[in-house]
Amino acid sequence: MNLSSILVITPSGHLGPTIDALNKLEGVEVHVSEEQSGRIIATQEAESIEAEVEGIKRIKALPGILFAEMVFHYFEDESNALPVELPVELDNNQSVCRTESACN
Amino acid sequence: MDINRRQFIKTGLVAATAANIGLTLTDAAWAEAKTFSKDWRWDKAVCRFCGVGCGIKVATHNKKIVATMADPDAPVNRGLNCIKGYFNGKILYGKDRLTQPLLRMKNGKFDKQGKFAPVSWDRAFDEMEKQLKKTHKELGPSGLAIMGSGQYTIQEGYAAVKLMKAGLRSNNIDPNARHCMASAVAGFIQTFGIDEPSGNYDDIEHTDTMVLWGANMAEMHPILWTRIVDRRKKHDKTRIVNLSTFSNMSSDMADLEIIFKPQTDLAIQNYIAREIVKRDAVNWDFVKKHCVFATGPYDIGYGMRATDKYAYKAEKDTQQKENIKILDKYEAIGQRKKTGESIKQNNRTSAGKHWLIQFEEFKKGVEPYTLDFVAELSKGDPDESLDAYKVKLKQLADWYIESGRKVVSFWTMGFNQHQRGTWVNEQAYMNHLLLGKQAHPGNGAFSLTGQPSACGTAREVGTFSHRLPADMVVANPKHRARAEDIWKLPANTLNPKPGSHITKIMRDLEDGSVKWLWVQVCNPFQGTGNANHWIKAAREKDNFVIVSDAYPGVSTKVADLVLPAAMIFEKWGGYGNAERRTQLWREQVPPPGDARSDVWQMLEFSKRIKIKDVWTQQKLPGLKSAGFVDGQLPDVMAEAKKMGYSPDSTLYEVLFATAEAKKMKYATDPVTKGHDNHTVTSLGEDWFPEKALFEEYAIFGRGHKHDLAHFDVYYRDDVRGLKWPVVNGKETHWRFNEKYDPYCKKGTEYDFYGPALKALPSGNIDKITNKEKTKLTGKAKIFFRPYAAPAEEPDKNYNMWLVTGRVLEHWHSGTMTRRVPELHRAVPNALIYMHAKDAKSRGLKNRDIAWLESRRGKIKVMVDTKGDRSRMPKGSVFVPWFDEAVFINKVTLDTTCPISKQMDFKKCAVKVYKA
Amino acid sequence: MKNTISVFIVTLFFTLPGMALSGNAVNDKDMGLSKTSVFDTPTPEPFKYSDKFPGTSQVLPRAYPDAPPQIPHNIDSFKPVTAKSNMCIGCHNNPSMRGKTVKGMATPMPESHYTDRRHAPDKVTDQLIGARYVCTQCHVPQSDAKELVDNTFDDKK
Repeated sequence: MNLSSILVITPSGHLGPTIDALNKLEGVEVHVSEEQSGRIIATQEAESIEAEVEGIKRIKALPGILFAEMVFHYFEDESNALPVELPVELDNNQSVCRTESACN
Repeated sequence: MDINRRQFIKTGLVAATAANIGLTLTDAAWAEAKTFSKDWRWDKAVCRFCGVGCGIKVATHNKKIVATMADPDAPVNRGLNCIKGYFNGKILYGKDRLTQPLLRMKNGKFDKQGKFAPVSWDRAFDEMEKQLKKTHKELGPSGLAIMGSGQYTIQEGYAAVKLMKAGLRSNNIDPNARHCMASAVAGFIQTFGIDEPSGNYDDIEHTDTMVLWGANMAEMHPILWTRIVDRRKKHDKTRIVNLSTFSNMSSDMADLEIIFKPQTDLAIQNYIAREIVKRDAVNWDFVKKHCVFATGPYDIGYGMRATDKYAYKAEKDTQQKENIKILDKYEAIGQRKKTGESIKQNNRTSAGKHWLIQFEEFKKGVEPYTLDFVAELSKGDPDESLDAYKVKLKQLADWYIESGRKVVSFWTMGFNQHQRGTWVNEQAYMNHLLLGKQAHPGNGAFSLTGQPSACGTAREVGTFSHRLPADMVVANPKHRARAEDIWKLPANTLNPKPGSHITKIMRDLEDGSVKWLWVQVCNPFQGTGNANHWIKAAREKDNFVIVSDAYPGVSTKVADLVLPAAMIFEKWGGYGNAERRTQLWREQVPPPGDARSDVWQMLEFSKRIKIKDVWTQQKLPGLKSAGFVDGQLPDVMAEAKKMGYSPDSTLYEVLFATAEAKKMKYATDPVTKGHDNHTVTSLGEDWFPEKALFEEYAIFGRGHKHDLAHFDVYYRDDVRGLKWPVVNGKETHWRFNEKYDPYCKKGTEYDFYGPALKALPSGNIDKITNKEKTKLTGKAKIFFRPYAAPAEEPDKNYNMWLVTGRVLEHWHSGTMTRRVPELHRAVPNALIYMHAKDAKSRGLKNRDIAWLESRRGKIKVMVDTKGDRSRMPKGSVFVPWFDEAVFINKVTLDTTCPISKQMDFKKCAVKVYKA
Repeated sequence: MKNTISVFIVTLFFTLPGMALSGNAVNDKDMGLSKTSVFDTPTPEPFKYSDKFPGTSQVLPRAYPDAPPQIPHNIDSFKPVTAKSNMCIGCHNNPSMRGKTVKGMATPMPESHYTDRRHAPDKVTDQLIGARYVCTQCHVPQSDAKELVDNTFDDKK
């Protein structure tokens, strides 16, 4: 899973429609916006880096976009985790509820 | 990725973006690319903290340490340190270093109720001498005691043993290492006849399976853990099992986590043994050639006092179990007896005796330990289903037994700090020996240690109340004669009666049988269980307590005299780690103010005692030994005179500044390479005490299976410590295996050549039937040991288990690491880790303050229910002991393994309620 | 007259401890990391870890050159690092940026983290080495707890 934050800048008066358009895109979510400067911060979920780049192109193609670029990027590289293959019945070591979040 | 985490990351990304486009990050704090300066002097050394023994390099400039680095050439750690290790340099520079002796005084005189006033070393030693002579006159040598340490350098430990045993003729010297690995020692000696592991850390890179039994290596042996995780990543077959009474950082990397009830590891091991037998997986080739079967008595008590005279009212019910134990259901099944049977603990003073049995008798012993029985007894998490737990136990047995699968079992305090610590150590060997998975690369039961020289000093030098160097013991007349010969002492100078172990020294202080105590390189008044008794004894009884330390802590607060000590890189020294690796270092910087090395303190003080003060006839209550008049140590002055000593010879001259020692000149020694030695300059001598002590000590082991190389070899640039025995210049990687160990007899393949306890009577599973002793040359023993219930278990009033231990960021009692701001900020207080529901039902939530109370004392502590580090099953709490303000040892119980006398810090009953 | 004497006694009573202090005598409860008697039961001081999100905090100064950097941001949701999940490397694993720091970007792990010093000490790879997988063994977050005593270590001298 790749997650990224995207800065979008729109011309004045265009903020509302752009936010709506962004939120309709799959995997995209608008978090912060600023009427005065026309700036929007959105996040995007994507399965791969390629999909992420395609996603940006998709945003750039929306009407009335002055600027759209990825600012921060997070991805989990499965190849870095340890290879764990265990019998299914053993594969839930941490399933017993002991943490506060899991218990409540 | 779960939804919460995804949302969290998104929020983070947005915040970061907002910060980046709107707010400005100031440049000032961004890491400048600082580099090591060219004027710095670099030298190899070893880490101050745990028993792993990582190599480090120390940079000094203008007589200060300015940086350290993990030594890329050190085979132990290959350029990696843990978070503590990176701060080796900084531990020296806490602003409240002790820099001058402090004596409690009123009106210019020593007064136990006085405040600490700075005094000169002369004044300090005057008082020590006066008080020593007073106690010596009143109580004889057994009124004196030294508490030593697994953090002693090899030379310090050796000087302390010699001063105490040869000079003052008292065997009351015992290290805090007693609380760290005495059970491991007893397990080694009883099983193999010789101390210390057969394997080495390279076992990690050779094995397929690593089973952690009460060893949270991710936090306590972090660098070994990095090797384990690396192995896990590289080698697909690798499996990691974490057996523990609570879930911890080691569980996070484990393939299998087994949470068991305290003390039931005894039953789990027997379940594995039973499976080995049932599945016909015994490696008979190996067992017949190299092993015998053995067992011992069960009625051995819990290492408490036999009397309740000193017990608080609330303690009396627990203390009673020392003398009479009523068997519960599980104990009765595991010991083939009746539930409710009342057992007098007849063997509490002969707990270590054992005898040979036949395999059929061993089989009888393990027979009750079926999967159903053991699962019901040992399941430690009430929220886990019994069926799921059984699957795990079976998987554990499968991996041990799987043909061709290599297995290493690691353990530390979970086994060692245990009311049956010796037994549970022996059980680990039991399973490895039954399977023939012992003493070759990647296979073996491997006991780890907690202190940097628990092996190198406490064990190998023998700073224990019953030991002499190189595995010898004071009770053995041949061993005493050999030590007297090497030490050039008159015959019968050495005291044949084992002295008080460290817990007993505390009890002796309380009952007035020890009145002069010198504490060195440890903080026992914080570190000993049931501490309310001992701090009170030190402060309120008629005694004189001297504490040598670098920083003030609990022990210095209860002292009468505080002596400022030099720290690791401020003196020459050596440590020995858990894989038998001996590593020596040079003095890097001078100690601050009047602080001095412990070697200097002992040598300088020994100038004040003349042999006529101590080698004359001395009373020794309770001494009964062949060749000695009961209750007396003989006058050896006549023979001393024949040997050329004068009655006015000081212990300094007789023990330390010997003709041999004085030949080793510091100034011209090739290893010094321009490094100072403040011990030499403070003594006003020209010889090299640390070298002289090391070389004399090495005589004990050479040719006796403990061979060390010469002092100079360890200082060679291409040497990063050597694993003993070092024979013909070569270190030994795996012991008892003919391929690697030059001490094995040719053609044996495996030779368990340890000489101790190798002639035994024989009997059946319950008793000795034939007193005639059989010799066991070259054999290891496979012990049957049963399950025994803990001395104290949760009840209606004290309804939870308490387990104590360490955290990654702090070491031992925290006197060093808590003075490093980065480490302090990382973990500021000791917390009480508990299950969120246990907290809720007590009206507590995360970060509330709670009372924690046992029969012995109570403290206030902050609650942690977050579960991102230690995750407790319901009914158990964990509190680390590094924090002197969260004085957890006021709450813990002072039971010990009756054989090893090591304290059990892992289980007692407590209650927790809102403060 | 009576009054004068009592005033005098009171003064003496209060000045004695001061005099003792000027002679550097120290009470045991004023020593050590917790300034209490060993017989007291202090209440633990509260403390808080940084609540800053990754990317919003400033890099903390290192203790000395090459000391491992401390974690300047909140890691509550990243813990524990397990065999199946290591959230730290999501941002800090950036092999192409090894050893470089760029403002506004998570500090990329340096070459040492991609070098297997035990088996191939001269080869820098693209894979994080297993020995460096558990980040929190060397890198720790910092709370707002006040230093218990000053530390005079200085790498610049």
